[in-house]
Amino acid sequence: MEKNDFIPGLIWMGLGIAIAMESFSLKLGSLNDPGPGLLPFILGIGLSIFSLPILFSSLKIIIIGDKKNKVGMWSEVNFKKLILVLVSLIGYSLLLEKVGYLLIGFVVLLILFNIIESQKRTTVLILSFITIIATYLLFVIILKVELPPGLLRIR
Amino acid sequence: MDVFSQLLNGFQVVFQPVNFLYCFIGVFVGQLIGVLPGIGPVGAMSVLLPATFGIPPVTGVIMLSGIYYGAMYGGTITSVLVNIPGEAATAITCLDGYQMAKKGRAGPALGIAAMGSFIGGTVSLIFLMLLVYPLAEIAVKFGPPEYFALMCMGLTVVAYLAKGSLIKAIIMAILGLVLGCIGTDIISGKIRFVFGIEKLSDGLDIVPLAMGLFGISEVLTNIEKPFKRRIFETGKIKHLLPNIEDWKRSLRPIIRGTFIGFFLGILPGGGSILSSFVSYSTEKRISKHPEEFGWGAIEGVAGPETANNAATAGAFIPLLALGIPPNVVMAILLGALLIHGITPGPLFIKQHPDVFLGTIASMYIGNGMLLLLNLPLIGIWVRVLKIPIRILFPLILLFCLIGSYAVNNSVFDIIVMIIFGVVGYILRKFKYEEAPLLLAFILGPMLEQAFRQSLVMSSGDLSIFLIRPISCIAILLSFALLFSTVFNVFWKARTKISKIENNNND
Repeated sequence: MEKNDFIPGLIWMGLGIAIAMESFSLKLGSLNDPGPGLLPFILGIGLSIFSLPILFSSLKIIIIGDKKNKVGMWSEVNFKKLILVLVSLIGYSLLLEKVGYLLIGFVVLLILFNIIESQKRTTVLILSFITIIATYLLFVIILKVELPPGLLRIR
Repeated sequence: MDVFSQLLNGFQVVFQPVNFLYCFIGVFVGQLIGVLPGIGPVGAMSVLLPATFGIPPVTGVIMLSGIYYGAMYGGTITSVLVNIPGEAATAITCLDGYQMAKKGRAGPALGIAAMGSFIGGTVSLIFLMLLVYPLAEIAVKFGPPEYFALMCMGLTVVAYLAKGSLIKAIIMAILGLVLGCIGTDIISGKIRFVFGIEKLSDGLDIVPLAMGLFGISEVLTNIEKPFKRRIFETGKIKHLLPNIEDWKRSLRPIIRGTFIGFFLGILPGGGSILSSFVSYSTEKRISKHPEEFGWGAIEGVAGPETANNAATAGAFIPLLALGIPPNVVMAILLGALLIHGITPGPLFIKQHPDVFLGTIASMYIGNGMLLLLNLPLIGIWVRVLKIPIRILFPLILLFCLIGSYAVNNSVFDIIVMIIFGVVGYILRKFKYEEAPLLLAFILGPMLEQAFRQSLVMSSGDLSIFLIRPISCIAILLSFALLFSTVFNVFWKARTKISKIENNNND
């Protein structure tokens, strides 16, 4: 365990208690007539119990102070890239049914090809175009997956 | 039961053109993603799972299992040529395979690995056929307590064998079981943990969950690392066929690897990764020249490579005979069967002989295809290795977006997938492993049903799990593992704390 494990430990503890409480309201039943809440209740309690060793050992390391591990675990994360990727994924899911696969897929590909590693504009354009057409052929025409046609109305 | 005439029926299934085609697609994709970094067989199988909805179940299972064992062949190539395991089960091959390549013997290393894989993969299928019928016969007599106990044991062993911290793996397994509870309770009809989201009342779907945890989060973890351009000094690979001396040295490791792989493959969790490591250490221990290991001993390639393929066959046994998947890959196969309304279990072999035998026979054919794909096309695989991440990752993300939507034609599934992608990313950051979570998620509903049925059977007496011999052994074993885990964490923390104290004092 490391000191970083403390917060997840707290979350597991809280989550475990929340699950147990919610299960309690679902009716535990009795052992000879187990209700819908019984197993989740046991799981919630279990989650809280197993969070204890994590909490204790990470807390102790925090108290003693770990001089060796100074570098934070988030220091190397490229948040800008991460958030841009997530935003484009969420944007895709929100707009898919309105705009249609071909358009939104193309736009998302343009963004993704750009942010994951920047490259020449024309390369990105060509790559995205080829990919969107190829996936359309593969999934919609050959595999008969239903993707929303949207504005372009091509099926 | 005449195994071979049965198998003949299986071959009739595989040689139907559509099955043959999908078998080829499966092994091809498997080998491809085995070579490509950044996506493993679990990710690829979950991305392709929606593609199996429209085809017969046997065809789908043939393709999905092809991905699994195909990845083992592909992973070998990167291990040998660039010292990067394309797949965890081929990591050990880096040790001697890469050294052989450095000495200009990449050809024989790849050659013996492919031959060993083929032998291990096909011979263990015969063991599989011999073992699965008697086991299914015994399993028919199992009641809910046995099933509950075996599933508990499976989950604890999987958590126990997880790479990182044991306690974290157990937390993941509990979380997976809770996620499995979401939706309508099968017995009482009551809706659980839905919090007003109507789409959740049927429960979470395995596809968006697996894609999020194994596809999206994998990409998210990898994009933050700056990419160093790797230089491949592979040169021309000549003499793919191992010479007589190579064969003499490899024959015994291949035979031993087949046994090690098959029997470890049956155990929960371990499968191909564990068996490749065990085979390597076995070969090193009994070798007459252990000093050569790590410097290009061909035994260190032949043994593990055979074992990881033999293990893929072994892993089918718990799934086919009991209906309990021993690892995540088998859990996804189970998911695919369930979507088609087939429940694996002791009766599965009798009720769906075409699916069972077709899958087995397809693995013979698939292994043969891989042997043919692997050796002559090695140049192409090396080129695949050079596909840059900037092209690969957007493609993986797009496939996930398409695939998650295709399950139910619902945007909700895409959002679920993105959420689990982020969750998986954060979990990876804190060194939690996703495999126990997904396996527990699949087992969850079955485990709960068995648990409640057992209690009803015994009118609430918990000792029902202890008075039946098989469930007693399984339960005791799981408890032993669980408790050793908790104490282990405290013990490790103590040593770590004393270490830090020493450092601070310096």
